[in-house]
Amino acid sequence: MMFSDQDRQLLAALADVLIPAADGMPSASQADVAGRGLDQVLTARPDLDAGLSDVLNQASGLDPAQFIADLQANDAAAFGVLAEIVPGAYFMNQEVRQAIGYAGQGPRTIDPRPDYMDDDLLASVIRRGPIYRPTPDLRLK
Amino acid sequence: MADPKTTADALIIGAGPTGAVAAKRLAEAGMRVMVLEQGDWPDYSKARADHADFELTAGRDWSPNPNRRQAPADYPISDVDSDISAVLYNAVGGSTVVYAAHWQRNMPSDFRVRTLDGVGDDWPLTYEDLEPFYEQVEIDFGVSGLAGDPAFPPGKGPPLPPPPLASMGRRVAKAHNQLGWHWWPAPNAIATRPYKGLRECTQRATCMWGCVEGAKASVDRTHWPSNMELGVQLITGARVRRLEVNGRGLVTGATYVDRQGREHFQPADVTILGASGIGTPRLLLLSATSAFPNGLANSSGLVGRRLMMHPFGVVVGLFDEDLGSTHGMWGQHLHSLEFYETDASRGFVRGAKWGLQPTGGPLSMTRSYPWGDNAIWGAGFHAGIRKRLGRSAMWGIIAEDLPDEENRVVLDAELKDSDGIPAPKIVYRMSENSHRLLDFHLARAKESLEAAGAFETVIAPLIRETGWHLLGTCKMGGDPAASVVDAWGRAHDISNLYIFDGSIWPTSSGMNPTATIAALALRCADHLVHERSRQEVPV
Repeated sequence: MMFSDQDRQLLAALADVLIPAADGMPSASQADVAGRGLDQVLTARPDLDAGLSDVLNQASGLDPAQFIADLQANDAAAFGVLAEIVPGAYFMNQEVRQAIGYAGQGPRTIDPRPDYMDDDLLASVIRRGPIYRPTPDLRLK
Repeated sequence: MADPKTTADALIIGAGPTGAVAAKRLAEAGMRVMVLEQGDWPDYSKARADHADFELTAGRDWSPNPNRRQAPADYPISDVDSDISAVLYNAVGGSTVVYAAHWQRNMPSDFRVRTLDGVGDDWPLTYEDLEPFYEQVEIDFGVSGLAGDPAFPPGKGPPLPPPPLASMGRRVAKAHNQLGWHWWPAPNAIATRPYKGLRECTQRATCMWGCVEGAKASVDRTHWPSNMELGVQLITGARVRRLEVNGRGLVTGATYVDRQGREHFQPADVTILGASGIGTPRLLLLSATSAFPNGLANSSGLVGRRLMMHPFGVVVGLFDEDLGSTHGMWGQHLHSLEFYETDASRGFVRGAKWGLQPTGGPLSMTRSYPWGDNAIWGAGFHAGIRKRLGRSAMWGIIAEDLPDEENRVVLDAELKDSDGIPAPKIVYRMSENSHRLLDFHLARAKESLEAAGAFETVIAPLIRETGWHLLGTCKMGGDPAASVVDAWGRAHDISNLYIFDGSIWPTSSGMNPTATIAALALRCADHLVHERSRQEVPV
């Protein structure tokens, strides 16, 4: 499915209801969610294509805020398509990722220092003694 | 090495943890082992932890739900009459490919549920019987953890040190110390140091969606390469249609269908099922004959009955500092067994295990699970992300499920897999005991996070796709009228048919089950080796 400029404008309007500009952060449309973002999402998740098309058809000509409110209240599956695409695209935007301090799920080496030994954390757990019920008939075996 | 069509000493159905552990032990004893697996090797090129689209693609390529995944290896599971959807993975490695690798031994009381709590059944073995096998599989899997946990009898610890508690873990540990509640550095089947073929974990919190690092101990990595070096023959893309039985009532082998739709017969002296708590009873029911009209090994009527799936709960806590909780082990950083043992004053019996986990990346902060009705869309979006991302931690709660014969696996009357073989249907209702148990534990877990300083907590809605632990559908016991297999996994009705997987658990415990599945498979395989000279075979 190729989404037209009109489709993308409509998506941008819907997306801005979900993610408006605030707190120094760009809105969804400012982060190009309906442009490059949508292309990135659909490359990764082409299965979302048809669902988005349906949503846009439904939304055409309606007030975006009212449409989103109705969709959220009455059609969880369709809302779920938007709720995956819009933030999915938003958080692939490098500027957004930088602004929230998120660099992806890259590696973080394990600190070999046993932090469970800090402040004698385990002492009280050990001091309390066993908390399990032993095998009741063990002596009979 | 056993060639296809030549008689194997042992034929194993399923290349998950049960099949991997059993094949290793049997091959080490010199047996010719053949394994049939309907899936393929996992495709780790689809592991996207290093890519910006990780959160978007993880659920598609690594979904644990076969009905959602619909890969060529998968069979559909009808769950229209179940409160919970069953999740599993059909591949070399089985569900260890997508498990969270929480490595929990059962407690001693889990083997004596009837004696101690008057419900369910006792197992025909004890914790002490299984302990040496726990120790061995922990070495084989490269388990990380710390000896001395007072929730278990004293004994050897796993070979690798535990993961860091991390900021969230230290907060919770201090809180539990103040509350007087149990906690302990968590055991995981995740390498915290380079170990045999495993690399060191890099805490990407992507463990369930394709471990890109090769640190998680899924048996495609820990067992199958070395098993094949031992001579085990593994055939992938082999979907078993039925087990065949001769006039003496012994299983002669299995008929399977390859990916081209061609049918084959693999003969064997003994056949071992390790196809999961759903796949195993399905196959026994599919193998009905005139001599076994209700399915193989089913004179008790219990094949498929007593399905247990562990209702699962989550509580998330939000904290006013950066916990770094986009990352970590997923996996678990610490566990608590404070409320694991029965206390009748709570209004239910048995208990649950808690595991403390990170919460992942920004897209996960927007989803309806675990956040439920606490949507952040609109004006509060950015503040909501800032509040949650890296600043949240969650308890995952595994609730013990009691056996109920009405909870069961049957063959669906209409649904079939891609080879036209009847699909399984699960019928499952969560018990009142489970509801009470889970409610209690969710409330306590909320208190735990509040005590750790959470300024807000969210109890996740119960969702359907949490049937990770498929247990109990071919019960183990001493009485052939009330169980399917004996204490060594041998079918009461058919002396050369064995079941080693989670199907044979008499009760479910409240633990993640892979540690006990692996230890039990090793114990059963070990016994089979020792009794081999007395084994009745078809020819």
